[in-house]
Amino acid sequence: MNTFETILPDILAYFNESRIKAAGLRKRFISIGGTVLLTYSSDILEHSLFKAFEHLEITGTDAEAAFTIFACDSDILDCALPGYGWLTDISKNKEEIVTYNSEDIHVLYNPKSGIFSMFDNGNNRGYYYLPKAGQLPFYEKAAPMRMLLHWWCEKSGLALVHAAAIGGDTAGILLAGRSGTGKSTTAIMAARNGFKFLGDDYIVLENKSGPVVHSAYNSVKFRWEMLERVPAAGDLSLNNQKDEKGYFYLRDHQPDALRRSLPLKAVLLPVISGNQKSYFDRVPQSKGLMGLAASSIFQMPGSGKQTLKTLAAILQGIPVYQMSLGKDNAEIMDALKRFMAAGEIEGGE
Amino acid sequence: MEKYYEINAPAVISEPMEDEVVVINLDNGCYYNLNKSAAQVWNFLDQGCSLNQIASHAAKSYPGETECIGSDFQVFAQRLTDEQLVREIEGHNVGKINANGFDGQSYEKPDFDKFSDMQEMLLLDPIHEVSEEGWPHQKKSND
Repeated sequence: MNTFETILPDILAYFNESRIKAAGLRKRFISIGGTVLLTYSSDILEHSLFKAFEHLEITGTDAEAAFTIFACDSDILDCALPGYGWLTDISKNKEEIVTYNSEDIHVLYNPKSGIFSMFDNGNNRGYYYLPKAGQLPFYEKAAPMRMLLHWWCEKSGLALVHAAAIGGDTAGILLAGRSGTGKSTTAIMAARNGFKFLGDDYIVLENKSGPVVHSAYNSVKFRWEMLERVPAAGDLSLNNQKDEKGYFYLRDHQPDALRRSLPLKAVLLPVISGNQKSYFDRVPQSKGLMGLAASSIFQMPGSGKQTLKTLAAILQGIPVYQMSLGKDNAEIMDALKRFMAAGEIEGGE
Repeated sequence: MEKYYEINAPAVISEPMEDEVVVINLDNGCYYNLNKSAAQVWNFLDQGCSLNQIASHAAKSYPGETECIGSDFQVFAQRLTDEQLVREIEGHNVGKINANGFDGQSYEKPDFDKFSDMQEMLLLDPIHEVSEEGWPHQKKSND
């Protein structure tokens, strides 16, 4: 007997009761490769979890959503989610993520954040719970509900990937690779230098008569040492804990720089070179697939075969370049502008 | 003696990209880029061909390299095994070498690049898959 299934009815009943109790539920529609309806049980949850999606909002619609997410905390029913107390035990004193995957249900409990995420595959519904909305960690405010979006994307032929994306008016490029290679820094510098910004850490890819990159979050996260490159970011940060990353919402400061979607034309793999000048080297597509897939898959527990397959299909025919970042910010931006303006992202060498 | 291998699924996933193959070991966080020749061997192994079958086929494509192909392929298969990407199985000949194998242009030793920078991510966030016994029951007293 699968014991999760014995507790599942109680969990679903808890979420249903919470939705009823939260009469006049706070609803927001967003577009992220499909229409997603976000519902919250309280103002504080809405405030904390919607800011990152605000630039994707669709107003004046009651369109049928492809995916509906309900978020609540224990205040709504004045009691914890059934089984929640035991998760801490299972996760061995906040050391281990707990997952459950079946054909119909995906679950992930992250003991560090205390967030419980559950995806109902058959009904395209996501459920999100944490004990106290006020205890949301900064990274969840900056990039909320990643696992729920990942599961839905995976089911829908989309892919939520760990990458930054910037672009011009008609073409988008991905900045891929593991953390610390300069993609976030490059993305925020680009946003401040006339490029369009779709995301600095997570974006959604879709194959829709050609690859398309969709923005997922308008937040910018940065390491404090990045301030050498982008000093203004420090003043904007909503999190001043120096042992954590800083973050802010670009929509609050540069709404015009944001784009919801762009056709994907190239993948860049930034590396910090220490050279004076930036330059681009065409590399095999497999390098691009590795740069995207490895960090995406390992950041999304439970993802794997399907995500890799989807990414490989999306990247077919997309040129991949290693971008060696020069020392000077202005030179990097000029190099990027030349790269795009020269039509190189249309597939040339 | 014929040696057969199978990909160490579900921990190991792979996907072709142009002429190469990207392989990811979900269990340990390592990932690999197989060169063109290695990608061919990988695909044939996955199709149920024996190592000898594959080596014989490659030798026909590269007649001047017959001697080294056998040992190169043995070494490569052992490396794949050591990396826990494949496992040797008791097998019989189920795979067929198709015509679209090695290109015969210039022999390239099967090889891969290994990357392990994602391992720290797994160490940071170890995952406990909830098994039938692992998922919590509600306490009777809470019912």
